[in-house]
Amino acid sequence: MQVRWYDGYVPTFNDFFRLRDELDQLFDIGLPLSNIRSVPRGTFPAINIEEQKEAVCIDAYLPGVEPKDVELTIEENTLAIKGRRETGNGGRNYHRRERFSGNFSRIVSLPEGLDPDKAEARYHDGILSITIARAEEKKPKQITVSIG
Amino acid sequence: MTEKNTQSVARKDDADLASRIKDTLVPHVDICEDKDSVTLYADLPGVAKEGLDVHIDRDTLQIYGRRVPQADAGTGGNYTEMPARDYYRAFTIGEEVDREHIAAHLTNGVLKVVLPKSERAKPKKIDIKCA
Repeated sequence: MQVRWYDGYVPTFNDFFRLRDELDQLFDIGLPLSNIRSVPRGTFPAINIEEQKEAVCIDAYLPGVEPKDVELTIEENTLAIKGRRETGNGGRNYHRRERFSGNFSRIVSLPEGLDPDKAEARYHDGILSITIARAEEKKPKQITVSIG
Repeated sequence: MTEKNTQSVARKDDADLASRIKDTLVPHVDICEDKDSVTLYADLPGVAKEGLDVHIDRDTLQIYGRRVPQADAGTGGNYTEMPARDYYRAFTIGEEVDREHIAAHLTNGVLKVVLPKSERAKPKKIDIKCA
């Protein structure tokens, strides 16, 4: 599926390439050129990362998980999110079982220059929001230009 | 498939909903059944009680979850596995569900809907009498 007749994207076909990439992602057939650390679709929990000026925010989608059942650790520049989610209901008859059940673990590479001592985590409506502040010396600094 | 959904909803004179479900995520569900009820669990992370709409219309159970925009949300993520879109999913339900006693609970982003079966739909054991 990765055969290309042009190196790179041609503006006219951008939307088609994007569509094809999305379909590849959808069916997980982007092989053999997927990132060695990429995770398959539907990996639990889903994670969003946003870099802000003062901090980096990581949202982990953990519906139905008690905060006490989640273990968060920062080591070097990786963040580990581990825990367990039980969705079983004692052997009742299931028509559908789509929700994740069992142990989960995800490791996130963090950008350089964060201060792990200034990390906080908040759980609301099934989303665990982790905010890690940038270290003071790594924050972008504005330089004022003086005339003269 | 989306097109089909949109049309069938539009037929029910609910054009508003049809436009709302256009760009939605399909939540994962577990559905289990015992002799008294059918129970549905849906993962709706990011949906608060105010944003949830569980609707029963004749034979259709519709779940619509609106994502609450966050106050501290920035300009957009650098890496996104889960776009901040609303959730929608619908199921048909049979005659045996007692429409009056359906209960829904939302805890930590998980919706639980209990659809009890009406008395006459419950399985009955027939006593066998020996003559």
